[in-house]
Amino acid sequence: MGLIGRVSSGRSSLCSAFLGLIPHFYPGEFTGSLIVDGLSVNDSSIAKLSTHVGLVFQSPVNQLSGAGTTVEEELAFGLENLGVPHSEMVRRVNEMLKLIGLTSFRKRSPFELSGGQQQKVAIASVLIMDPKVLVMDEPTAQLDPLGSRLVFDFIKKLTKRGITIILNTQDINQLAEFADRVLVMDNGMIVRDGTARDVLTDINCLNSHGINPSDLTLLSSELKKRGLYKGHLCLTMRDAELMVKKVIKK
Amino acid sequence: MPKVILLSYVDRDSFIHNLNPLAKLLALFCAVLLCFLMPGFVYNLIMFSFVIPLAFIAKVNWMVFRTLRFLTILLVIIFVIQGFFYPLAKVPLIVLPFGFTLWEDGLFNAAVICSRLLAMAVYGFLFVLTTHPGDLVSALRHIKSLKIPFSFGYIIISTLQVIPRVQLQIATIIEAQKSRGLETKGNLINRLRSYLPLVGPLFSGGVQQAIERSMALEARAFSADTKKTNYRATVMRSLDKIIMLLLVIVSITVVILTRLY
Amino acid sequence: MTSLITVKDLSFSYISGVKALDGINLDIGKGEVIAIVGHNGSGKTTLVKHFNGLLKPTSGVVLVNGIPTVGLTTAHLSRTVGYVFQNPDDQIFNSSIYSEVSFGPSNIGLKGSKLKSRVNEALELTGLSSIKGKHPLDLNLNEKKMTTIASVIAMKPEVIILDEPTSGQDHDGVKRVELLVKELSKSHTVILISHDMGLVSRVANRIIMMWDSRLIFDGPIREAFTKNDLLAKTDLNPPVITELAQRVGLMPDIFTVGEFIDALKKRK
Repeated sequence: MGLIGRVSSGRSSLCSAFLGLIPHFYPGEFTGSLIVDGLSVNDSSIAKLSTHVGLVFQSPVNQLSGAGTTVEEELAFGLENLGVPHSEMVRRVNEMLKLIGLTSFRKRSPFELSGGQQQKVAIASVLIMDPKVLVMDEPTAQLDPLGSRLVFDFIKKLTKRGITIILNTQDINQLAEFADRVLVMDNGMIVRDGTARDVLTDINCLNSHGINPSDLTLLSSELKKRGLYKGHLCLTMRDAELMVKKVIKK
Repeated sequence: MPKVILLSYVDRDSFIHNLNPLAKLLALFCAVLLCFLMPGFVYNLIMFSFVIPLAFIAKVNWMVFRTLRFLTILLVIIFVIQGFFYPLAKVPLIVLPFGFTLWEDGLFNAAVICSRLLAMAVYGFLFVLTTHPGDLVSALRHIKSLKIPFSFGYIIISTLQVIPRVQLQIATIIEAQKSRGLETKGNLINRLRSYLPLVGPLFSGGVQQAIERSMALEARAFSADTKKTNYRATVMRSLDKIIMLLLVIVSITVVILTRLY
Repeated sequence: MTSLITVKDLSFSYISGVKALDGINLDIGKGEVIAIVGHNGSGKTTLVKHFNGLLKPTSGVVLVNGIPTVGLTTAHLSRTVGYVFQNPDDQIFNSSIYSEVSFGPSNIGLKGSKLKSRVNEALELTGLSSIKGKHPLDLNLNEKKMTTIASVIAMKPEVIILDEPTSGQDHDGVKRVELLVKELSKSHTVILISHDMGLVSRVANRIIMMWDSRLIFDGPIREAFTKNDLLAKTDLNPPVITELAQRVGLMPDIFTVGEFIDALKKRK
């Protein structure tokens, strides 16, 4: 599920709430309820919630715990905190290393990795605790294009594992490729909740909430206006390619 | 990338690296204690020179000494202050105009202080370079009677890991501020003026980093109540125990001998 | 052409022995807007650090206004070549935007009313005039970035180097930086280090591509964007519409929806 909105629309706050950082880390007034995987965020400790919800942040290097001097130790950190027995830790660490494709890096210091690799380690360090929900708060915002692609491909791989993913991002094109559902936030409220296709092609809705629609969608809208194209508005690269090929044929 | 020598664990296969961290910690403790208990500065300098063969055994050779560059200005300041302003001064060495006198006992005291600093510093550096922080914490936690809390161990490791990162950040800050016209070389006035532009960003950035890191730690169940397990394991061999015993015996002997003469 | 910065056979190796630059030659003249691109580790940042003396050549020579950089400090060179680092948090230390912006010019000796007018000019250009009293802790990323850029603009160097000015910014932030660069290019030489192909296409007129410590391309923007094999080596992020253009076989130098439609029309 994608979460989009303008700056300061409340997206990050919502992500923090899923783990219970709001209200336990950021005190304030909390009304209503938030229940994640059967646990009430208000009544459960962050530590308890962390086994059900994984939260990944923007800055790759600031998420490194500093407790692990090698990549494998960094991955194991969460499990150490939970008192998981040694043999189980080793099994899960090996599994995660394979998943992120960094098995040959296992003895390196996590601080030596590139931004994209560090972010993959951060995601895996949280995934290793086996949560049912993975919340990611703008995970590629601070990465260079190479790193962004690395993380993006990894997230795409994760969507096939059946875990629920909530992705807060400014990059509409990222979401277009694999989101099922999209929430639009503005001014601290959810203003739209629908399928990815419905929401991301709704140019008016996006513009009125300070979000820039994908150029692919805008292109299809322009072509429609000029009568060159009669189909649905485009969302993914594949839609756009098909559309342009049709238009060229005519 | 930078010209800075990073002060962090260096992975080598050496006798010293393979010693149990507690043995090394005890050695460091004894070294520091001896620095303070032995009279004069000659013994401290002898201890300082002992690090040379140890550094070679540990295969870290000159790394231990390169980091001393940062201490030189402190040493010079100590010599100047103690040399001119030592309160118990009785024996003048050189009388300078404007009522300034360079005292012999002031210089002697400065020599004691500096030799102490140097000896402690190099043993400290040797320790950091040869001891894996994870092993240190793991070894500390094995002493069940001490009941070291988990957070204490975390503070040690993360502090040791953060030193090289801060070194890198300072290097970047220096470059950025120089590019905005900050003159860092030359006289004392320049150096004092550059204090805030160099340290300011470090602190404000540091706070932000700390907040983000705490949230990341929370996401890894850092505050969980359960009994923690350890991914890394350390061993206490009988060799380690023998060395630790020897260290204690030798230290006590040296102190008694030097005090007697 | 009077060259502001001349680089002749520049090679640079770190103390560790790693060779970061290998035989670079180039000339930078007045009024150019140059993008320097490449993978992290390609040597682009190392090259640029030679322009203001942060690094000195291991072999070869770097001349600024005809004078070799070797004997000069960065602080002195900053009067001619300004360099805005990527992360504003590595630079900001004052308690108001105004005092932060005045740091740069006061370092090069400006005082009193002259300092004041320079600072206000820079604030005006970067759109910060209305918030000049604000504390840096209250600023968002774009405002912080603008502050550090203003602080270098206020020194009025002939060359301004911007290191990843749009990284981490949202759409509006990128737009503001773009407009600023266009304005600056009227009176300064601008050098941009960036991964953002869209930005580069909109503001730069010349592009220098670095790869594995070597310079692999130096020429006009439009020409560069036809060389796909070289572009692939530089980690530039193409806008979605450019990628689409490539995939359907249109000209690769399309960056906006409008350009795409025009290209389609031409096809017919």
